[in-house]
Amino acid sequence: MSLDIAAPAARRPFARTGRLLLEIWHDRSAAFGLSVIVVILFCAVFAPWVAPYDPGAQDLGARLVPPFWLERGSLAHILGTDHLGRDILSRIIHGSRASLLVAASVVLIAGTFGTIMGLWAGFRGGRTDSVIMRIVDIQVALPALLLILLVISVVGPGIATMIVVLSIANWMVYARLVRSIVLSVRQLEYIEAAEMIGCRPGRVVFSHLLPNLISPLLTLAILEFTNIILAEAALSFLGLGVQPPATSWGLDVANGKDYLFVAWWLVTFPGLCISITVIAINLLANWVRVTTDPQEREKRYARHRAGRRRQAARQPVGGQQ
Amino acid sequence: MTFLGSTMTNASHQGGFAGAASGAEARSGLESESPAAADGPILSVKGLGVRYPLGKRSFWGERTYFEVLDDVSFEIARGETLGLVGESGSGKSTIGRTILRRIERTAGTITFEGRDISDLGGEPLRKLRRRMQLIFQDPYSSLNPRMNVMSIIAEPLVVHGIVGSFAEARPQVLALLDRVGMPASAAERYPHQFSGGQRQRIGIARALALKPSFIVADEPVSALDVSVRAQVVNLMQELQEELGISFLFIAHDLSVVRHISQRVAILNSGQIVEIGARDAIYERPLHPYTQTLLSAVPEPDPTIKLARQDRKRAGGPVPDATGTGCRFLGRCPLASDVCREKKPVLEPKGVDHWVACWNA
Amino acid sequence: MSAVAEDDLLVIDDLHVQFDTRAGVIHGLRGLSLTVARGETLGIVGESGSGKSVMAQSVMGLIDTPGEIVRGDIRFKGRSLLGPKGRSYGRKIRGRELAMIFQNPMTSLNPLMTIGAQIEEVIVHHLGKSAREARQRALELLDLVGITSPVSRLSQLPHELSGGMKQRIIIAMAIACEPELLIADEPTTALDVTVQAQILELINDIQKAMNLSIILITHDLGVVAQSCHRVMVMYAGKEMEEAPVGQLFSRPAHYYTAGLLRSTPRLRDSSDRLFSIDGAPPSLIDPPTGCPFFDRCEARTEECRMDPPAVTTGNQAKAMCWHV
Repeated sequence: MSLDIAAPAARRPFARTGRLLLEIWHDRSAAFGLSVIVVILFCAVFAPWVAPYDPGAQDLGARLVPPFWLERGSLAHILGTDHLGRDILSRIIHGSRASLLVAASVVLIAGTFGTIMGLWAGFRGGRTDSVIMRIVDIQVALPALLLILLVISVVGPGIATMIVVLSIANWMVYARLVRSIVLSVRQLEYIEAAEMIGCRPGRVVFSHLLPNLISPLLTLAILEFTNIILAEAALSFLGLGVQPPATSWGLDVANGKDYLFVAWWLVTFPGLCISITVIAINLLANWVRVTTDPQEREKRYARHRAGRRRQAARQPVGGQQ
Repeated sequence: MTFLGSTMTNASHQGGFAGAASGAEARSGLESESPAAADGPILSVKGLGVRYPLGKRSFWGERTYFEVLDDVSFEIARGETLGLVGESGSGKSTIGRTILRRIERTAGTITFEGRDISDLGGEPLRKLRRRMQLIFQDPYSSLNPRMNVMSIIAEPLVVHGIVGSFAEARPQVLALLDRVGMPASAAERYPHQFSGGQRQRIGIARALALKPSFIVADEPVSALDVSVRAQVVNLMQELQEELGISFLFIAHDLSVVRHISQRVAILNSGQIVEIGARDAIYERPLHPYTQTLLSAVPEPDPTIKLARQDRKRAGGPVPDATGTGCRFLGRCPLASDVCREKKPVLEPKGVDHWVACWNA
Repeated sequence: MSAVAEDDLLVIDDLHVQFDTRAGVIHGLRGLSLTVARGETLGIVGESGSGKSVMAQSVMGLIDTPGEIVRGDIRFKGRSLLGPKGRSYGRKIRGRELAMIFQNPMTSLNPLMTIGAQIEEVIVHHLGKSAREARQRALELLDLVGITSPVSRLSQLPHELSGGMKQRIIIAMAIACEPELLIADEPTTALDVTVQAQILELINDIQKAMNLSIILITHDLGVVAQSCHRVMVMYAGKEMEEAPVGQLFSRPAHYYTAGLLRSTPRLRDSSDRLFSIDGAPPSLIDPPTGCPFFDRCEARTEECRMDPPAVTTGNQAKAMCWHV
């Protein structure tokens, strides 16, 4: 069927972004996810200005102060203090930096490496493909935690080590996804057409194959992002990640665990931050997945329109239902 | 209608590897346009074979193969269209892709413009794309949905260094669009904004961009609506008359082929069973398979009823693709003992009319 | 509308179907009316976007968001298939009295179930037969659709069969409950010509044997000529012409029908040039008023910008054109 659609203006990127934002706005859960992420990012970037205290500043006179709404709590420490009298809110705000930095770096490094390996395997095929995919299989079979323990016991813990180690442990999922997509996309006739008109392999891969990968990779990367936040928390909890006096959400949870029955807020607030971030990212990821799938997007649009029509039909009667 | 009689040498049907020895000699002449061969056929295929291994070699058995193409030979003269007709699984697309060197052959030679291109690879093969092009069956999946029409048509010019950039290609792209009957305003739009027929025109413009001398058209109109199909067929005919391009026109039935081809080849199970001048094939079909194909096309006329189909044939024995006999055996009403034992070869039955059947 | 005549099995009355998409509202059907009598084969001819498949989906209750039936009625044996009551009536009859065959035999069968299990499931589900009775019936059906050695076929999986064989199985499943109306949407388009000829013959035979009503949807005028009693030509969501098959092919009344006939390639015609209709069908998002064929018609005049009248061109024949 031929649809005469007003040309999607690739030339006017701002109009396009605006329309996209409008589309997010219509999807309440995605809008919520995006707002939460924006707030968290803002806090992380401007942590020194946003946080009321230095995260390391100890005040032994005000140890284990509960959140302000409880007895003994004070507005000076909204979310209370820990066993050394450090302000929890400030620690959470600063802690987000480590969590987000690790997650973003790992996603970027593992994603790039995995994508390259997947492209190589899928495009070359044959023996190259077998070798790369067997490496992937072996590494998937190897427990990631064992690998991490091994590396850290040799190199010693730290943020940089953690980024490298988590990247090594997480690139395989990208390689597998990219390879499977490349294998199916290679069958598309326009890829054959590109080879047929005389495009060199590099051009075929980067101009014709790669664009097909962007949306699934984006979705995968966002989901992996939450995994890495959790992995960072777990490693720091085990004492293998971020080292004091630096802080991260996982480390705070680990530090607070001894006081769980005396001061629940030490564990609860950083834990809650991890959960909220993960949920927000997942809501956004779901929206991205739907948006990049033309059919799903069409259905969402139709549901939205149908909802509006029902609303419009109801209003003149005066909201009887 | 003038017909360039490109006769077939009998030797080429006998078999296998006749042309392979001349490979080295031909390769040395690759860089030139080889004017010496200017009056020979533009394309000559001899004893072409493609086979895929079936499973792994068993411990003490010979490896078995599925023969997609078996000893296929034909020639296409300059400015001529050869219609290649076969049903699904006959190997018709494989022939096209093998000539374009997308699929590796396992036997035979392909000579194009006087050069042996059977073993061409790498950069020389890439250069060859300027001379031979492909038009796809599916106008929906053969255009990159993320590129606008301008980039789609300009890309071959850019990758071959004919123009320096996409912007420089603009006048040529507009001329090509005009040539295939599309407005200049189409250049900035994207494939999804066009109908199937218009997309096929864009695909044709892309194929024409490099001014090829030979085009494989792989069922270019079978995905199109009837009223649009005629437009595209006529466009291809005009282009051929104007630019002198030779076509291999692949189709799954005989109806359109009659209008566009000067010669027709009928393919069954990887073998050419009948080949010759168009009117000879349509007026005096000799191979039983050609006759079956012709009688199966439903005529748009209720007064001409389809012949009753032989029910037995539908569930009859499957032709033995690797056996020694005729591959049409299982469905053939004329089958006799000789058909079981010996594979028929193409033999002349008239002026430019060749049939591979013992009983025709 | 007048009372439903005794022999009209299916009546579609002024059906409008729209698809609300991001690109705009697509008008899939714009006021389609048709009747199918008992025991007749009605051919629906049209190009892509003509609305012929939308019509079939509407009858089968397959219009889903973003699609919507905005106006009109569909009546099967005098009872509406629309509205809450109609939907429950529809669920009762679909698969039994009303069956459908789809275009692609490759994707219409479950690849993981044997042929026997799939046919028997239909019989057990719809007719409440026992497993043994179902098997017996399945064998009869396979024999009816011309499949050799049916006993061994029952235990085969779909991938072991050829395309034509699969389409025979699908036909067997469709007629398992002895439907009164069978809708076949491009049943032979995906098949080779020799197989197509066999399947068309099978459909004709079954139609006669079971006194079935068939709606045969196709883009191929050759298929229509070989197997239909009456033909309706559709274009851009509207009816252009309908006539008994002999009249349509010998004396087409509408310019679109005539153009379609002339541009269909014929084996017996050795001319070098095919006739072609210039232009392309109109966009369905903002379809023009008046005759939808206006842009491409050789006989267009100013009055064609207004909706054309239905001109009676014979017994059971009419054409929507100002210039018949």
